[in-house]
Amino acid sequence: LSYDPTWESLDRRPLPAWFDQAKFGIFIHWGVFSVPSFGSEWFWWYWQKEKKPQFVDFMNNNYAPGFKYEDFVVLFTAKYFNANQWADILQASGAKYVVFTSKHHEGFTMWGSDRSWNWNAVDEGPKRDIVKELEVAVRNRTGLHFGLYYSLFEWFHPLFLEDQSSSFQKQRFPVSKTLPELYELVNRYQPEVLWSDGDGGAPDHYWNSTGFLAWLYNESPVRKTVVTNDRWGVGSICKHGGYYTCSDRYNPGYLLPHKWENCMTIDKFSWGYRREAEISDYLTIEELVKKLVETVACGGNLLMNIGPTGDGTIPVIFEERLRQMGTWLKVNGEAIYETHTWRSQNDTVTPDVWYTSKPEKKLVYAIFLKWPISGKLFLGQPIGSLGETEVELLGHWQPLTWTSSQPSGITVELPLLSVHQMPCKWGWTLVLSNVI
Amino acid sequence: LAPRRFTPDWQSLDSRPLPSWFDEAKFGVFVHWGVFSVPAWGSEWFWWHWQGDRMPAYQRFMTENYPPGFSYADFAPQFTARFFHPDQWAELFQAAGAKYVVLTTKHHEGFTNWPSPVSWNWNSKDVGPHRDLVGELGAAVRKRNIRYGLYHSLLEWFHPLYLLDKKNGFKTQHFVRAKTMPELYDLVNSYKPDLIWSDGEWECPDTYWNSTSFLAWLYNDSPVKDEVIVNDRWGQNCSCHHGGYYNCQDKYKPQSLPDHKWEMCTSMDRASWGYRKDMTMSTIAKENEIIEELVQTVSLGGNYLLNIGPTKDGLIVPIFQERLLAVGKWLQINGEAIYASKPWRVQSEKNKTVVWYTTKNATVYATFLYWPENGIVNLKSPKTTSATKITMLGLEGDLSWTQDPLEGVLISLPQLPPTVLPVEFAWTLKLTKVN
Repeated sequence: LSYDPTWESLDRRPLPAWFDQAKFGIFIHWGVFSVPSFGSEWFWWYWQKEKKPQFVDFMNNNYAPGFKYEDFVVLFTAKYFNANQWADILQASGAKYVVFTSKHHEGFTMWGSDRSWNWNAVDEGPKRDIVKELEVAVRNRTGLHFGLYYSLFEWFHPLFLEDQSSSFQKQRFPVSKTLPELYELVNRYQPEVLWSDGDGGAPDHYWNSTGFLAWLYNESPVRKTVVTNDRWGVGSICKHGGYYTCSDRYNPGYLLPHKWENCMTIDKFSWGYRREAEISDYLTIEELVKKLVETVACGGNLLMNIGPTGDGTIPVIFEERLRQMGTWLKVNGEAIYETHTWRSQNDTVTPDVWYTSKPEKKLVYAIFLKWPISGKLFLGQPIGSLGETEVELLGHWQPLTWTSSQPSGITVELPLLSVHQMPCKWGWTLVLSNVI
Repeated sequence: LAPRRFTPDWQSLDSRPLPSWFDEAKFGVFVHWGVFSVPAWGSEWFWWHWQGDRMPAYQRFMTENYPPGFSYADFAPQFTARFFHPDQWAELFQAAGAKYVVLTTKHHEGFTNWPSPVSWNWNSKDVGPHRDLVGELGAAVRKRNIRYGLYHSLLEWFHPLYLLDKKNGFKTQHFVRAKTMPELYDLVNSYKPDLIWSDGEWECPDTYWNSTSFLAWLYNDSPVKDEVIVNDRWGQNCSCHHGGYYNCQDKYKPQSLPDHKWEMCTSMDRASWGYRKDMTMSTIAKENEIIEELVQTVSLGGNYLLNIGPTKDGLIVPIFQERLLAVGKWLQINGEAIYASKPWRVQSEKNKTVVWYTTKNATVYATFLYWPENGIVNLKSPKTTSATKITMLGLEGDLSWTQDPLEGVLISLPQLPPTVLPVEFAWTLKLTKVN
């Protein structure tokens, strides 16, 4: 099978099976923006282009006049960066893939790109091939698929600005920067997710996206396993690509006909690390479990973002959330990984109940986020069959008593459990066998 | 009646009754903040480990990260406190349920967090923050009716006068006269602390430090003489023997009821009092561990002082915020059994669960840590009467109980899903009209 460089052809490629089965990934935003670590990973743009007061004031109050964004790179030491430690935390999270920012819109590459001389992690700052270190650790120590985020454009690159001022008739930037870097990333690190971003207002033909993707799917070393998203040019988002991201934090709450991903952040306001974030700015584990469940029940993957510090640590609050997710998935992962959507995504009677299924095993999972005070859970959607249907609570392993309701639905009597007998916190799963 | 005067000797000073606010407070927050928050590596003893006992790991850290010739003092300009908003800190401490806050005014590195006139160019006004950190935090916590305590290190590892006295076998007192005592008097007169948390005493007898003279002034003539509390680190061998209340040692954890008021000081990051950039979850105390320690400490008559280390730019990192708020949430419901309580005749029981007792106004509180599987708590020590009532803090309604045929009382806990219990860990039973 071979793909032409057209959306019609490329969009016909079946998504590699591992991606839908994985359901949960970790996104990592790390770069020079992790040094000022203030406001947002869009720091440079907000400071120098939009000249937002809070960013201008931050610089005026804290740095010498004439200090340039590029001067931050000396402080981007990554001195505590330990890829093995990161890999272990990623593994503990229960995620099945990781996506790392090889280059964000600031143009700083986290590997030694020869197209980015003296603005890359090997020449400056860490003086290390960060992408390689992380790739090796993830592949050696975990079962996660390794993915790379890559920004097509760079806010302040002179060639991009020149092309932009020609209304993208000129293509000097993609020819000399974007495409060489993309080919290099794929050939050198063999990512199984290629997470494109930053169309910069340019159409996909300016970026030669379809040409690149045709090579990626036909000839690249990852042609059998690679998954791509939908941000390959203006207008391509939510229309073209391997799976759809649609918008940041996309969470429709209903079933989509196409595979999609909810990329979202633990720090509600930023992808990059923000020093000044308060605990109330971080999603709680209850909120995160809810987002995972809602997303998976509607056929999506959840890609949950963390932002390490400029010196290379994963802040403990992020580590905690990752480990908490892992704790929850250890009990409830059966209802998440390798599941399919069911005929109903959520319960229309009892709120905060979401369904997934394993049709080949005749199993339906009802994940409920609030334990009913009465100890009885009403499920409005499933239809039970006397003598055939069985109900269990994941982690509890005893059959539960259920009764039928008319015209549909069943009432499950949940076990009386003390605090320490509860299989988990934050959300629980009923396994329903042989329901229709 | 003239107030009694204390003479500068331990027999007299130790006879002073402890002002009542301290025992009633029960829970405080300790804040370790200083130039050591800049390297933020290893521990707040960074300078000593690097240039005092010359630990290889610290020397390697410096050679790997800083140019040759970089001195510890070169860290000071990076102690910016640029995000220090004292009102935000005070709000957090209040939400944590803390009744007092203790800030390091000066740790063993000698850098003062206030404009000390005897610490020229090695204080927070001249260098780094260019602010009076001690004054600003004090104003913010007091606005919220939180008591303000000041930690002060008697010694400074590398001060030339201290080293001179040390070389003289502490027979001379140049450092004490020029530095320690002027600073202590200045702190008291300028900030009127409710508590003075002394430290750094261990190399010298209290006579070198002039501790008893200072304390006599503090108790007799200082502006805080009626309310001030002090700890027990005023000289070699004073710890756990002399002073207002006893710390004994860091993280002191007696197994039975001491006969003297005491405080357990411990750190949320088990590996350091100062902030460490490279800390991981494995060394951070869990919520349940903190609550268990608080309950145990109070039951044994102690105060619980929980430490956090802010960053060089003045932030309390979210994981510390989260833990503090978790304690506050627990105290919101169970604080009745903690604040202003007293040890009961029995402090603890252990059978299917662990129970810690406190008492207040003839009411007995039994805080049990683990929910029993059969939903029945067996308390062996309380003797019930016909008028006994038992409730759980945070829930409405009386609980059913019966006398255990053997001894004590069997209490039926409410049959509720764990998710609607008032807290997730450590529940408090309130028993009235028991003996």
